[in-house]
Amino acid sequence: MTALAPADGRALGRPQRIGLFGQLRRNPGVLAGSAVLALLVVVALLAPYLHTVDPEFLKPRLRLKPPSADYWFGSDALGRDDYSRVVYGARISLLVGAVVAVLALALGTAIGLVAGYVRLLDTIVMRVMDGLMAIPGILLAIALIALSKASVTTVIVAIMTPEVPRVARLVRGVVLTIREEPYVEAAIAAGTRLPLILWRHVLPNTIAPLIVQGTYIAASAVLTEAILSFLGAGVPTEIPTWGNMMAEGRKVFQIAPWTIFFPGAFLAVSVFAINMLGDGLRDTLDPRLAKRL
Amino acid sequence: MGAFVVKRLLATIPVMAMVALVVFLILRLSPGDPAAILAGDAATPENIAKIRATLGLDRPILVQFVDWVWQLLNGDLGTSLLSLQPVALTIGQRVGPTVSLAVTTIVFSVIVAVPLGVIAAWKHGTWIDRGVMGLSVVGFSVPVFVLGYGWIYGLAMQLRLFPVQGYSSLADGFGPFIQHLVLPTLTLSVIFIALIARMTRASVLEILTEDYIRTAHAKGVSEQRVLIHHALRNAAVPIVSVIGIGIALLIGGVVVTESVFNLPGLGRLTVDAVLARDYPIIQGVILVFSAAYVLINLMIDIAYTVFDPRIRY
Repeated sequence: MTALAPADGRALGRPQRIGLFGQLRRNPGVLAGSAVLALLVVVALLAPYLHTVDPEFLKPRLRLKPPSADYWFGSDALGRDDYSRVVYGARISLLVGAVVAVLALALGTAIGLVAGYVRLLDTIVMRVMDGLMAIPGILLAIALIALSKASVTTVIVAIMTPEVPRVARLVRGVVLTIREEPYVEAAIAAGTRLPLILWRHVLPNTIAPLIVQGTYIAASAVLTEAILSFLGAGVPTEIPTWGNMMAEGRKVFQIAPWTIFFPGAFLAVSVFAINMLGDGLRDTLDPRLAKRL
Repeated sequence: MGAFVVKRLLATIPVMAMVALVVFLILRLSPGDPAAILAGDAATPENIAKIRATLGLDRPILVQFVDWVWQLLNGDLGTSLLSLQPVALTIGQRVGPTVSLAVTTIVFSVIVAVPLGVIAAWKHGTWIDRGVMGLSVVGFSVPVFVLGYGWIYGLAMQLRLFPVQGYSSLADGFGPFIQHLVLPTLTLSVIFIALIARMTRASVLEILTEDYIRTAHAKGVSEQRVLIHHALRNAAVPIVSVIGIGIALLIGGVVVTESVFNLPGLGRLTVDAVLARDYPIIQGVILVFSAAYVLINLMIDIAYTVFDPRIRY
């Protein structure tokens, strides 16, 4: 909310106009969160050039070496370089986070729009969504993965499924409020067709809360992916991910704590950065919600 | 009040029916043939056909569903593929550690988080407030298992204050029981404390702007009394409701925490069942957890009327 007041306090007479991007730039959460996130994206993209070796390269002679000048983050139980594995692991985490957020938003928005506008379907669709929401997300994801072959796609679908009802509910709520607005009534009176009303009048009103929701979904998806891999129900073990590294580190944790510490720290920092970005976006884009939390 | 409870109870029936339908469909709509999955990799076609017949998978899907629900209503959750024990019995044997951990976590979180939130709201805008809020964002972000291994490393391995892992049942004495639960509780509580502290601060902050708070101050009521009797009491409803929302979070956290600390509860059971592809167990655990979630939220809805007699349904 502080972002809404000009920093130099010149606004006593008439409100000074700052563009949306100006507001976003003034928000420390948005700034810090997106900076850290951008850094992680660069690290993930440039993984092969960041003094890494093949993350799957085994050197059985150099098992469980503590962090040193050669092995920055130490080596794991099979003699693989933990630094390289952490750097490559960023790829999967960020990919899963981004894809889950986009898919959950798209699917949830479609369902929410339909439920909010087609009254006949509303009850049925929302009851199904209630049922899905009553199942704890991680359990639903675990069950979905247990039933199909482990792959990155399965993990994405499994993490996305529990998020969809929440988005659908949010969009439906916005639709139900907006459809009572005079300008929507005017559009109906003018003979505008339903798809156009949804596209032009309803959808734009959902964008701000959806962007905020999307960042939270991304944060929780990154976390859930790691949890699933950690539990052995995630991305196939031959792919280096932070969760897989920690799953393997579990067995040797007492003698080699770094096998869990480094991937864990990267995971925590990533989630923290996305959450900060989300809080900042919420304060800027959705001040009404920000006031409540 | 009585009519409300009955109405609210009835409203949980369609939700639970939906949960049952979803759980049923997950197994049926998944790409693999359940009979083939159950039979394992080395199964012959005859084997698979036999399993399909014993499970009744060759009957119409609607018949299967009705049949399955009828069994559920009779308390029959099926039989574990691995131990060949009834699922309900297995779940009953594993429920102890999970409930213990959930209860200690909720109690500890509320004890810590509510005062933190009230103080943050009272000292609104100061460094205390900012500190509490900052910690709560951190608390949201640190993964449960990273935190768990942090506690194990620091408090169990270095300082040797608590056992590293494992569980001791209440029947074997209260001391060891609590000792084994301290680290898991500390682990699971952090995210819960973050959530409750945030909500407490927000709702107390809102109440503090009310006229009756000013009146209370004006007539000389002490600061402490204003905060606890006037502000916190009126802020109770959103705080209680966030605890309800947090139950889903808690259930997810229980699964992970039990794995980190090797607690033989429902979370471990779920993970082991997934690794062994023991579908009846997976279905049973999901149903039980979902029912618990729905029931706890039902109780919370009823609790509203106690905390705030103005609420009439």
